[in-house]
Amino acid sequence: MDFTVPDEVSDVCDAIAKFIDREVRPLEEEHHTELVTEGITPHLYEVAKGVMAKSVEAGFYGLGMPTDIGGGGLGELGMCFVRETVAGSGAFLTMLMMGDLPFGPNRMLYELGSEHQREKYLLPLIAGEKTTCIALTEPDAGSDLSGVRTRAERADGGWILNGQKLFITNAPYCDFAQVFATTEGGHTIFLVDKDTPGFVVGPIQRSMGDDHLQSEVYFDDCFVPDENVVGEAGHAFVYAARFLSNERIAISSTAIGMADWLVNAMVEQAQTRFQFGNPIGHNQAIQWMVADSKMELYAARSMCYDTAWHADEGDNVMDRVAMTKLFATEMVGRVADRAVQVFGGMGYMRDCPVERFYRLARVMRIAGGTSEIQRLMIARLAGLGS
Amino acid sequence: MNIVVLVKQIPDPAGPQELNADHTLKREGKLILDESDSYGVEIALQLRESAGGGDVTLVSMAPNGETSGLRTALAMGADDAILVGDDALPGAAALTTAKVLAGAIGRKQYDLVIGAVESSDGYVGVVPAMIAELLGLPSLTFAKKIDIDGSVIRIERQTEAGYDEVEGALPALVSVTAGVVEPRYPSFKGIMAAKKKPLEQVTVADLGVSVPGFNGNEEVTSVEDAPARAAGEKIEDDGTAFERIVAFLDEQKVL
Ligand SMILES: Cc1cc2nc3c(=O)[nH]c(=O)nc-3n(C[C@H](O)[C@H](O)[C@H](O)COP(=O)(O)OP(=O)(O)OC[C@H]3O[C@@H](n4cnc5c(N)ncnc54)[C@H](O)[C@@H]3O)c2cc1C
Repeated sequence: MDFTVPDEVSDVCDAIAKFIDREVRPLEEEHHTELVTEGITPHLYEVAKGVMAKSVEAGFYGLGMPTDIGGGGLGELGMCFVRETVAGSGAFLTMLMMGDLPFGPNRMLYELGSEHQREKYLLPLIAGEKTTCIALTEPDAGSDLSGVRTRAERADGGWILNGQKLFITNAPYCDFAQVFATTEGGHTIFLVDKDTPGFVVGPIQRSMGDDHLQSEVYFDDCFVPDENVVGEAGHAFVYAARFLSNERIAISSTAIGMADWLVNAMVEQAQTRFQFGNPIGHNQAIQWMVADSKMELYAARSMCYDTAWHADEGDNVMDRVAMTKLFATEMVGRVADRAVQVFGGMGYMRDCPVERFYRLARVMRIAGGTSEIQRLMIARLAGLGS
Repeated sequence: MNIVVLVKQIPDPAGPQELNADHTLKREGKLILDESDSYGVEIALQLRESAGGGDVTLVSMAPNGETSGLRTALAMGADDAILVGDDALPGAAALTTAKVLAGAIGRKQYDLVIGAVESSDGYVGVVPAMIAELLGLPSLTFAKKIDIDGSVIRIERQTEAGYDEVEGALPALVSVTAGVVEPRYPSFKGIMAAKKKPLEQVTVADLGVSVPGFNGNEEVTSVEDAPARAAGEKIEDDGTAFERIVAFLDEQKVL
């Protein structure tokens, strides 16, 4: 097991950090008031798309994708360092910068996509010309995806979709959706272009993250041609487990990057904020919050590198991924909570980035599979339950 | 069009800095590409592109066989690099540095040598002109724009008032001012490609340069902290503040 950061990975992390300093931070300053008072509005999404275009040009987009389609060919461990760098920058307009799930290219389309799908969907994704979304969750199907009611019925040359999805990240802005629907004998994944008749994107669902990224989508007799079925009909969940579950490693390393930023912010605040004649960091109460945060960050990081390393070795990492996602996302929640405490009143104010981190950390225990579902998986893989 | 770019690898300016007992900067650990030199690298790459070919060679002098900064510039697109490392070199004075770099440049066929006006850690600002003298090249300094037309080089030479147009014959040496172009980012593909690019490591003896007593001609006698900024003068506006501000500016001879 070797977690030494190879030169090429540390070099690209340095280049990305510089890119963020030069391209993203000035934008955050320019749009500070909008960012702080309204969050990532549709207008700021466009600004983030500008960052994405520059990232494509600079060769940072899709670093985790295979090289034969223009990706960087970085493994999961390499991507952990990259994501930590991005999340650890504390810059929010980086959200589209790396082309991570669900926005950008993914392994499922790479491994299963037909020639047509590669040309029309995957290559434009990696070139940053299109973005996408993954439409799985429904009103009656959250943790329990067997409840998916969106149906696809066979029709001449294709399928007719009817149903409703919700909380779909990037639905308001995407060029096409990857839709999970019930078909005879199982579930199937369809690529549905945004302008397909009968595909309707609902209004933005405002959230605690203030990022204006989610909306409902509806399918009303929406015709999708056969050529837009991903892989074979009926295998949707097998594919999702195989190709999309590593998203949880990505969520974990993002949580770790955020926690790293928060710990540094806490230390600085503890050293520079004076009360009762001393820096507040002179108090053991504050020191212990920092110490506990550092310890938990170290633990999460170690878990994440180990999981990513095993994933790169081709090992089965289902239990490791579940444990890491669970621990890293709960860890960042605790760290963000302590950071707010160390910052006091300021930590509660919108002008302080800690406040925003606190809100953003909260969703990480829900999206990508809730903490309870991770525990359930860990227990099942240990041979308990059904 | 073959271009040699002088690049210095320096301790990260964002990190804490320490001085040696002889008041020179500690250069242990990772050294990064001096931002001042990233502009020269970018200009060289652009000139190579518009010339439709040629090589961009990096020349650097650094301790401990350090190559991190060179790798950055190779990843940006330079073709090869020469690194001069020698146990005798740390703390080398400007003239020694110029002699060593001139010796390394002499190993290449070149049309143009590009350097920064000054490095971000030393700020001595004389090395490019010394190298031009040692190599017998015309020295065009403070360039903010470079045009090549056959064997003629034209630059816009930045001045306090604007710029002068200066012309010279190739081969020549140009020093470029910071911030005049947007240096490209080293992409991941560039970083991977850089691993395979030639990087020649040589010593002073290999260059056949004679540098009698590396620091014989320069010594730093002491280093002091910059004086703390004195408090400014506050002018309360009673309706006549502008007059006092104008008077103040006039006194400072900035009007
Ligand atoms: C910001 C955001 C972005 C999202 N983006 C997307 C997206 O792009 N695409 C998409 O398809 N979905 C997306 N989702 C949906 C997300 O995947 C679901 O919210 C998540 O899977 C949980 O489902 P649910 O909300 O229906 O909660 P429920 O499944 O109803 O769960 C409610 C509670 O019950 C618990 N629970 C459920 N079952 C069990 C059990 N067996 N044992 C113990 N506890 C249990 C849960 O852990 C949770 O605490 C997003 C959600 C959010 C908040």
